[in-house]
This record gives sequence, C-alpha cells and structure tokens, in this order.
Amino acid sequence: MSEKIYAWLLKLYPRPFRKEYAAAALQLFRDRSRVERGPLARLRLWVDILMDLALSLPREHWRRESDWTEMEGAFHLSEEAVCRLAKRDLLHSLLFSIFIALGMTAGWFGSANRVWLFSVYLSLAMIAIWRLVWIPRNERRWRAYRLIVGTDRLQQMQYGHDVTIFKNQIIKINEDQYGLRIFGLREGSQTAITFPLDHHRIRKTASSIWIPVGLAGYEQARARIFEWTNRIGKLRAPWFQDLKPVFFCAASLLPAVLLVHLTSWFLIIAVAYYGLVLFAMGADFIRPLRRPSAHERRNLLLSCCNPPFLVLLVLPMVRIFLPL
Amino acid sequence: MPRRKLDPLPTVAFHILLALANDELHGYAIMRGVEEQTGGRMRLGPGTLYGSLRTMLEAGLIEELDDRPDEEDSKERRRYYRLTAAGRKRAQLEAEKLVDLVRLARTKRILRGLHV
Repeated sequence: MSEKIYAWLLKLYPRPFRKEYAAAALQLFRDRSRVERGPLARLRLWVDILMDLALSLPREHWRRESDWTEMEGAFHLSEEAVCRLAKRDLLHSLLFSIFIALGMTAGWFGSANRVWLFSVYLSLAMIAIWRLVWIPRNERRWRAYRLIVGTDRLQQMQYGHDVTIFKNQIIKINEDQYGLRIFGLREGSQTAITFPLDHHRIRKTASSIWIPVGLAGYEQARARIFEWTNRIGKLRAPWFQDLKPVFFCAASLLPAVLLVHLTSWFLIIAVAYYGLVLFAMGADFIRPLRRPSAHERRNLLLSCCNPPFLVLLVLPMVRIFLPL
Repeated sequence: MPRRKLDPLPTVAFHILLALANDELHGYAIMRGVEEQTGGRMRLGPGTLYGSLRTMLEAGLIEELDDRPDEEDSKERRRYYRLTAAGRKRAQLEAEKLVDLVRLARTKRILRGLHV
C-alpha cells in the first residue's frame, strides 16, 4: 500500500526526472521499507520521504527542460520524415486557420464581399502563429545527424559535415523512435573526434555529447515547399490571378517558418499581416479585372513599398542566410 | 560563460563522493553509506539522492555502470554508480579545503586537541 502511495507521489516530479529515475527511486523506497519495519521506523521513513519531497520537488521543477534535452544527444530524422511532418503540420494549420479566420473576419468586418479576402490574409497569419508554436521542436528536428554503423567506427555523414566517433569511446547507444542517441563519450577523447565544424557547435559534458551539425535536410525541404507552391501557382483560375503575388509572397515565408526564432516571428507576422492588408486594399481586388490607371498604379506601388512590407521581405531572408 | 555546476561542492554531493570512494554502489547503498558516515545525521531521500546523482553525472564526477556487480540484484531495477578520476580529484580538493579550514580553526584557537 505504502509503495503505491509513493509511486503516486513520484508522479509529482517532472516527467524527465520520472522517466530517468522513478524506477530507481521506487526501488530505494522498497529497500528502505523492507529494512525499516515497526511503527516508529515507518513513521520516520514517511517523515523522511515527505521532507525529501518538499525539498527536491521544487528543485526538480525549477531545472530547465533544456537541461534534460541536452543530455539526450542528437536526433535523427530523415529528410522524408521531415517533409512529411512539415506537410502534415501545414495542412492541419491551414484547415484550422481558414475556419477560424472566416468566422473572425466575418464577425469583425461584417462585409460579405471582403470576407474571403481578409480570411486569406488572416489564415496566413494564423498559420504562421501556429507554426511558431512548434518552432523549438522543429529546430531540434533539423539539427540531426545520421549514424552509420561501420566496421570499427560509427560515422556520421550529413551534407558535407562528417563526424567520426570510434566505437571504443562510446559507453552506451540508445535507440528509440527518434533514432540513435549517444551517451557517455569517454573523457579525453576529443582528439579522436574529427569534424569540420566550429568548436562552438559541439557541446560536451563528461556523460553526453550533443552535436548540432547544421540544418540537415533543410535545403531539400525548402525545395519541396517551393515545388508545392509553384504547383499551386500554376492555377489558371481567374480569381487566383490577382492573388498570385500575395500567395507567392506568403509562400516564400513558409520555409523560414520552420526555423525562425520565436521573437522574430512575432515581428514578421505582425508586419506581414499589416503589409498584406495594405497591399490588398491598394490593389482593391474586388474590382473587375481591367488595366489600372496611372493613379491606381502609383497607389499600388506605394502600398507595396510600405516599410512593414519591406521588412517582411527582408527579415526572413536575413534569418535564413545567416549562419545558425 | 556558463556557471560551473557543483561549485562550491554541496555537502550532499561531497558525502556521496565519499560513500563511493571505495566501492561501486547502488542508490540504497549510497544512502546507507551516507547515513553511516554522518552518524545517522543525514538520510538522503530518493528525490534528493537521484537529483544529486544526476547533477554529479553531468559534471562527470561519477559514472553509471552498465554491468551490475551484484548478480542477485539484476532482477531489480538498481543502478550502480562509481567515482570517476575527476570525482576522486574533486573529493580530494574538497577534503583539503576542509583540512585548511580545520588548521585555520586551530590557529585561531577555536579547535583544540584534535590533529589533522
């Protein structure tokens, strides 16, 4: 009974701690209760346990999650898997955003003939917000490497970055649904690791190694995304022709959504939404197709050159092409 | 520059290092070892013990054994730990620091009749 209570109490600890040490902690409790019999000893045991909980629970919860993730080594996810995930996430966020955006826009503007147009803009903004929620996880996915079990060594070959780790320097390798994780690179083995990476990219503790080897598969995924958008861009429907520039502008942002830092994304989304709305109002898409007058062309040009719209174009490019 | 963990070395960590000085031990044995060497004044609960062990693992002061020394225990989920060279060095430095403190206490006539 008391073991069950303690097992339940262990659930109060953060998940990484439970995953790593719950079984061992329960075993320790079992050992103690096996030895410490009698009412007084039991009372002392429970006083100890409760005091221990009071002291260690806040400390374990205070530990940042990154402390745990750093210990996990690196993830491996193939390019196909990343593309599949990106596609699925985009589809989910697209459907979700369109439905909510339609409702919100109809409620806000109450103008039936503009609802669809503003819904498109709002959807794009919401997709981006949806994506930014997942950015930390996505970044971890991109920083991946592939380990190939060779004859006497494990070699990582990934888009020009090679890391060779000799088997005798690895204490433990775990395999799970994410791929391989390396634990326990022995001390003093730095010389045996050959890598053409910057040293600041390698973080090592005595018990684990974490090797971010760059954006493995990013280029490929970006090409795929542009392939999808180009395919959509070939649509010949008349209603789509006016939307094309807006669509391509928004589509050019999509690969960046996979990477860009959260704070930057808030800024980008704000200016993107503002810029697109201005652009749409300047172009006045609801008018029938005709050649715009000189005055209208000037307005259109001005609306395209508004500072937020330019920032929208420049910021993602800066973030993409700067070394990560 | 990141803050160095276990600097200064907490008392719990030092006692764990001392308990592991001569043997490879599992959690419960470490707890008993610490209890014995402190004359029952310090009894580590599972949360404190494994929290400290984890920090020390990260700092490279101890390491976990893959093979279990006690075959009878292999059915139970015990995790064995041992001191690393860095851990031994750290314990030695900590002990020397304490020795210096005791020397200082003796020169100040706070501590009498004890030899270090």
